[in-house]
Amino acid sequence: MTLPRPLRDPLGFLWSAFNIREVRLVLYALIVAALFPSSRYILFVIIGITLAIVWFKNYRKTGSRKILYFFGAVLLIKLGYFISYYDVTSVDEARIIKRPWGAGISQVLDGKYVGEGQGFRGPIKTEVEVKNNRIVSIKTLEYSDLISVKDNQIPVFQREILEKGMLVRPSEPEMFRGATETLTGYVNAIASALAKGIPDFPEYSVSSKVFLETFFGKAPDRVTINALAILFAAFMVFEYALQSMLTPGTGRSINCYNCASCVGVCPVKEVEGVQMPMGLVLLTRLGDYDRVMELSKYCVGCGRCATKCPIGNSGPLVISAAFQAARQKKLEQGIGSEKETA
Amino acid sequence: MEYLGYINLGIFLALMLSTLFGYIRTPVQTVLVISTILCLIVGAIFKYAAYGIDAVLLMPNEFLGGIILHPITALLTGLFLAGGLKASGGFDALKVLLRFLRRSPIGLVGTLVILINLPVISSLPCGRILAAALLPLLFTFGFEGGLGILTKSQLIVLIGAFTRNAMGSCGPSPIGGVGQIAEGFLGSFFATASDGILRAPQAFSLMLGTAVVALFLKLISQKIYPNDVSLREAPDAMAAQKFAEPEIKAPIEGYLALVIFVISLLTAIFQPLGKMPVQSVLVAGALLMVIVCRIRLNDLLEGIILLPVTAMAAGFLAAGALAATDGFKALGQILNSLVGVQFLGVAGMLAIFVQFQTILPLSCARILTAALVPVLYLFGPAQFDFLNWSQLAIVMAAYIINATTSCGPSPLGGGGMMGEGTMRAETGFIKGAYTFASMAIMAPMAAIFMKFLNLSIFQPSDPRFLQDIKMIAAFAILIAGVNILLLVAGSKLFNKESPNNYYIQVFGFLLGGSISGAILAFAVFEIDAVKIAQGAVGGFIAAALIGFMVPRSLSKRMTSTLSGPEL
Repeated sequence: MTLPRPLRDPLGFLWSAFNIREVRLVLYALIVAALFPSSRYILFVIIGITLAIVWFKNYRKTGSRKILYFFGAVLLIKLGYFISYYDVTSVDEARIIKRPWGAGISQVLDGKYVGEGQGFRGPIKTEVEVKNNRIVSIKTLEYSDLISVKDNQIPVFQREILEKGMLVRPSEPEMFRGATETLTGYVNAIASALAKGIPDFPEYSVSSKVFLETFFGKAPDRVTINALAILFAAFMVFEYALQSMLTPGTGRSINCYNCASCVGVCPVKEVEGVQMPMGLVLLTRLGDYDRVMELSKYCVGCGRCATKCPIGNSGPLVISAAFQAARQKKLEQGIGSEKETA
Repeated sequence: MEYLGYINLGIFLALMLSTLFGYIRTPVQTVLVISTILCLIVGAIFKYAAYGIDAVLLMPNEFLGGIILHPITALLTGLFLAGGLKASGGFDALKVLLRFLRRSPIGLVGTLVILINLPVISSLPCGRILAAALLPLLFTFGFEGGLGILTKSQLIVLIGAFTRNAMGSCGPSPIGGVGQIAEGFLGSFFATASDGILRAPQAFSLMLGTAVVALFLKLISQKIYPNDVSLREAPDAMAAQKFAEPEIKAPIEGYLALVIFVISLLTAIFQPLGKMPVQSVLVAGALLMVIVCRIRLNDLLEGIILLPVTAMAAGFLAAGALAATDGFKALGQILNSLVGVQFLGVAGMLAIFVQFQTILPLSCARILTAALVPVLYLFGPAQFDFLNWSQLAIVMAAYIINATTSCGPSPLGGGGMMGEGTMRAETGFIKGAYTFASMAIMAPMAAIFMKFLNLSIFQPSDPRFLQDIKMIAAFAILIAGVNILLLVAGSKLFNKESPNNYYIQVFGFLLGGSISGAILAFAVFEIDAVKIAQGAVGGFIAAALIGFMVPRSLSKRMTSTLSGPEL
């Protein structure tokens, strides 16, 4: 019995999968989702819309039922969302009565509690000690925003809380201008620590927590949207450069200056709206080898482009690389014969 | 330790010059990365010997701290938007609109003037985007292109001027333009810097410079290199014939994309929906194009031009390495010692410095701009105190337009080669015209514009407003007038096939450079005879370096390329 390829040749299988652009795009999305929880909701929506479009097209062409499953999954998620939303809202309402802010400190039992909040650059962890209904000490266990927020800002806030013995808003919010997210994260860390000292403090159900964390993470804000926009552009450019590096013989096309000096000396210059041979070089960056082969019939193979190009790119070189790449692709798809392999 | 900066500066300059003169045939970004690695290795050795391992461990922070992400990310997203426009047929829609314009009362000439200035009007983050889309259209105006509306000489002027305008339009671009690098530094004093304090001076001087390039190509370049453009004239019998104009059709998606593009651009510039990052606006615009105009992701990718992105990243890396290993300190000291030279002074040194990128033109202006703007910044109150903030802004304006336009004449795959390719000219044909305009027109004009318009705070009833406008008009006429006179007089002195023509051209460069240096000194230090004279000397030196690098002849190179051993 022959084992399936992922088991027989796992590295080869992974490499082949990595060579497929769609797989790489999913990989990028997974990296972003893992690194930035606040982006998960947007990614989720984007992937949902993309799948809906692709499967709807499949349904119209082949009658594939994937789109129905998709709608079913969306319905289930929506249902889960409403259940979680109801749970979270009711817990939040109950929490307002038992919140540890201000005079709420009287509900907190004596002891040391550790709490966590989300800062600008990562989690913030604090340990708060309560004695006789007063906050007597605050220790910062983890603080990721040290690079961006001056050292003196948080201690000033700490002193203010310790003087009053309770969690209160800073008296001089101007001092924290530009560090709103850090301060909010720090306050949340203290509040969550204090909440642990309140008996019967309302908690979200585990299912709601898992559901919201998995599908939505933190609510997306402007910072997240901007970061995603930048990441999207960066990944696309990376992808664009990677394609030619993954294909033997086309690596040099990354360096194309788009100066079109090759077009000036090419006897063909322009066919089917493509500037020759610069267009061929750029098409290999996209991985569109079929189009390169289509256009290759126009190349007269004079090599003038290679002598003119400031970095030595040449049309004939790119065409031969595209032929190789296209043949390799067909072989991997099982279209090529043994003879071709030889 | 005091030698470290000089060694690293030497490594950087040696690698750059070797690339420029063709001794290293590797993409300039690769050379920059090599330079970065070498500088860091040398720096690490020196720092370890002097201060121990702790100093070496601090180097990554010092090295990476200088990278400014905003221009890189804005450029990336700007390229996406432009890619979407291209993929959805937006440029075809633009061509249709231009055809309507040609049939309007402004006619062919008016349309061509608008067409030539279209790059600066649209101000995309890289001039190559529009050049790639519209140069084939310009080519159709000639005999070989099919329309036969323009003669060979006219077509050379049209293509050359358009390409000049395009390869400078990345400067005033608000979506990742080169000028934004400098605006970031000026932002530490000028509250309005991030709103585009350098945009208007660049755009204005670019328009003026484009006109002078057109004249230079007509009167000088075509006479110095008479056999280096292989475009064909219409045969006499056909010249009088009217060709049928091919019908240009644009898809409806093209018009929609054009509308989305304009709205995105205006939203990014004027922020009508409240302050929001330009990157978000541009990506949103690009994605909207994907949805509305139904373009594929591949089409969007096609719009990416990697060069400016990688160039800027590599430039920042090289700059970071130089900063971390005292390279800029050494450059500062060298320039400081130039200030000590009596006939140069601060004014003379600045006159050379602002022309630096025209002297050393690389394939993308961002490479050296990223490295040298921090040095220029240090001339201000931040360190050397040669200049106050206003004077720094004036010099920055002159430097940035000069830098921005430096990709035009670059023989390392600069944008100007797109124009040379389209006009079927040998590499170097446009170099004289482009460098002359950058040096003699654009740099001084940007400085004057900055001094008299951007740095003045006007009240509605302020009589200074009218006075300053008059001043700018007078200087524009003076600068353009003097240079036009130089071009016309120079061309009259030319003899057919005479080798002296080249020297007449160099003389024109020297004169133009001196005047440019003097005007720059006036803009910075006002009426100070010594400083103006020093500026003129500095301008003269810069012009000598620029003028003598303009190729003397091109034909030999063409012959050797096509039939010589290089083939």
